[in-house]
Amino acid sequence: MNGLVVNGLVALLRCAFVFVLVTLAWLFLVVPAVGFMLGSRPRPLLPAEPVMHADSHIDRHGELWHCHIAGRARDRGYATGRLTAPMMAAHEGELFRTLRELVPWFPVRHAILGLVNLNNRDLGSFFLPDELEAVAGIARGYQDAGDPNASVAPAFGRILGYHALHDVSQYLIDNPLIVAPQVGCSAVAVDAARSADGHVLVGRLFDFEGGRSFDFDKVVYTIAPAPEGDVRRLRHVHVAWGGMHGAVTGMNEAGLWLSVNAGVSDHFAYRGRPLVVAVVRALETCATIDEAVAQLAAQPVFVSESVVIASGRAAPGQPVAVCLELAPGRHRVRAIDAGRLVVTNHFEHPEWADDAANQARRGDGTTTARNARLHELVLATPKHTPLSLATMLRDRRGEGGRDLGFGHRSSINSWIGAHLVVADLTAGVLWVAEPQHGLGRMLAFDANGPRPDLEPLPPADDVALFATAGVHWSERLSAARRLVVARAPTAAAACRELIDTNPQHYEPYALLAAVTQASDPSEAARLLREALARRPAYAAEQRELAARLETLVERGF
Amino acid sequence: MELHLPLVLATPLLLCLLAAIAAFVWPWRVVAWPFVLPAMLLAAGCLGLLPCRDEITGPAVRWLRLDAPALLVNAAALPIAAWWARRCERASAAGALMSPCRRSLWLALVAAVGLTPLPLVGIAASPFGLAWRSAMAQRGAMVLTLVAVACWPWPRYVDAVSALALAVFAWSLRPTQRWQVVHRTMVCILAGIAFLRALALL
Repeated sequence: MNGLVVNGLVALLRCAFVFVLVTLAWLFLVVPAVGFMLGSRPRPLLPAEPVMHADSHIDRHGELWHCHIAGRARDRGYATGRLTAPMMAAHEGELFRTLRELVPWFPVRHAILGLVNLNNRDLGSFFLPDELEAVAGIARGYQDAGDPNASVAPAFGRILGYHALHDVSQYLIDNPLIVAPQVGCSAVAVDAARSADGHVLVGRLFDFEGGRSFDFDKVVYTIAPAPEGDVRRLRHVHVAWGGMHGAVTGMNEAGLWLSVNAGVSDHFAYRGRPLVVAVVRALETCATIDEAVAQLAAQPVFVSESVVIASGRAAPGQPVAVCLELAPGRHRVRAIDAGRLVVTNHFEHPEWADDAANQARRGDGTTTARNARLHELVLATPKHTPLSLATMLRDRRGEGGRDLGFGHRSSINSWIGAHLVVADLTAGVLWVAEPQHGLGRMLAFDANGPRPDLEPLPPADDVALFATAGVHWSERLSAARRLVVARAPTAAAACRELIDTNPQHYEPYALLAAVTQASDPSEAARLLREALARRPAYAAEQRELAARLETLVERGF
Repeated sequence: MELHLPLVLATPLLLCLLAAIAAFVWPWRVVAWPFVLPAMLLAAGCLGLLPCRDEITGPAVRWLRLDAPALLVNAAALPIAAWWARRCERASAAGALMSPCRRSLWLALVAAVGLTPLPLVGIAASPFGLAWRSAMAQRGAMVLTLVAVACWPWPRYVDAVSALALAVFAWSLRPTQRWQVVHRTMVCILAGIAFLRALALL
């Protein structure tokens, strides 16, 4: 009888082992391999060999790269690939490094990338033919310059996928396998009545933690498209990174501005047209806000985004700036109100009031705090200039001017931004900040190239503080978090050093409280009170710290 | 370096090795199929990467042979090897059940076919109770196989050396039963394929 039981148990264990083996094999090998195979598509044959247009060139302008690209789509793509290949290699390297930090275990990375490839298997069908030619040109140019990541996956599929990175990363943020930081972008526009010289002004800070090279090697593209068919092609300038046939922040020769802020809503699709490609299309072909709204609203996008659309040449009576709140299958337009438009990372049109995801973002994220601070700052200055907009987007204080220290995620500029751009749309000029994080000097450009005749805007007052204390802040904070989790003997010292460096930031106090909780509960309670008084960035953190404090108080500390 | 593509190309092999492990733990024929069937399909699916070959360099091409002959042989080899393993099993076991250890070894043989260079498969078949005419020749074949493995970063030499190893191994066999004749014939065919592939790369 006992023998039967033992045999049965052994059989059960064997069965369970094989079941686990099959599951793991399918999850980490079969499905990713299928994804990579379907996502690895050959580069389309270009109708004619791409050539580098004589006007295409790249040069260093201050601490920025300026890349002028001219010609037809495929030639522009080829020039982009050839001229920005070193930046592409740096960006790819940093993206992989970031992915390794977020997902340290290779099989999980393999599974995630395989699933992303599987999801993107027909991504090309959402690109227009000339856009595919442009991406094929980029892939060809990158290869000709020596693609260093050719063993990861074929170049064309990779580069096509990078154009959907902004969109895909949004739905990966909620993936349980990834520990992704919550980040945000902030944008603001004012009309002629609120500006010093009666011009329409707009600015945005693009927060993106893909890697430092996206800040240090940002590229200001000025594009001179050749006519293709009967479609009008407008010259435009946009700020992005190497190997990009898409835009997140740009302005065209008609004085039309488009910039993108991540959003969230209950409307969601797994596949669709990458918004950055739709935005560059709008910059190329639209002269007015109405044209851009109509064109973008018709796009089959797959994540929710706010698109700031502003014009320096709007017809009288028409809004000079709107926020297109765009989600798969639904969109709403929020026009500039009382001379100001503030956009962070949630939708504000009243018809989104019943959207649960948007409401959760407003309640739990940093978007509401940044939005409120921007409104305060806009109202605090009666007449704005490009410099005042830049100063607003460099602000690191909380609502009411509260001192949050630096690197605080609910401040407008938490020193994670990849680019800061302000524009005078009436004059057709934009200023782009040199590294880092929008704090550097801001150089002027228009749709034709750099404007050395215009004075640069000065760097932020915080440049010196950043250089001395802020430059390694986030790395030091991450290291301290790891030490606390590992209960390392040096954790307390690391936390105290962070407090000395940035005494107004809440997190070092919370970390030190975790270290001292067992040995000195009354000190931990004091530290938790200090942390809560400094206003944690996220509602979830606030709740967690309050709960920890309550536990200590109940124990009499 | 993120070696995702090499892992994709090696997936059929890894699946076959997992099939061998699963069969060892649970000696029931059906456990192999969740591994071997996708391995076959993926080996065939790797052919779809051929049009992208110009865009791929590095270890994916150098170690795992992303070229038409290698991929075609791999795609064809797995089903043939599966059939071959089953045929040999029937012939040798003469109605008796195969031991778990032996079944897993057969599956490992199938696995080896999934990996280039293909000729190593023949060497892997040596422990299966075959009669031989020269132990010295068999040892020589094993040494040549080790040399082939050492030549891994240089595919053409791997193919050439392992084809030679296979030829020596085939010569060393002395078949006494019909299935052993089939076995030796298969080894000779593999040696021929290896030579052709080496020539194609030269």
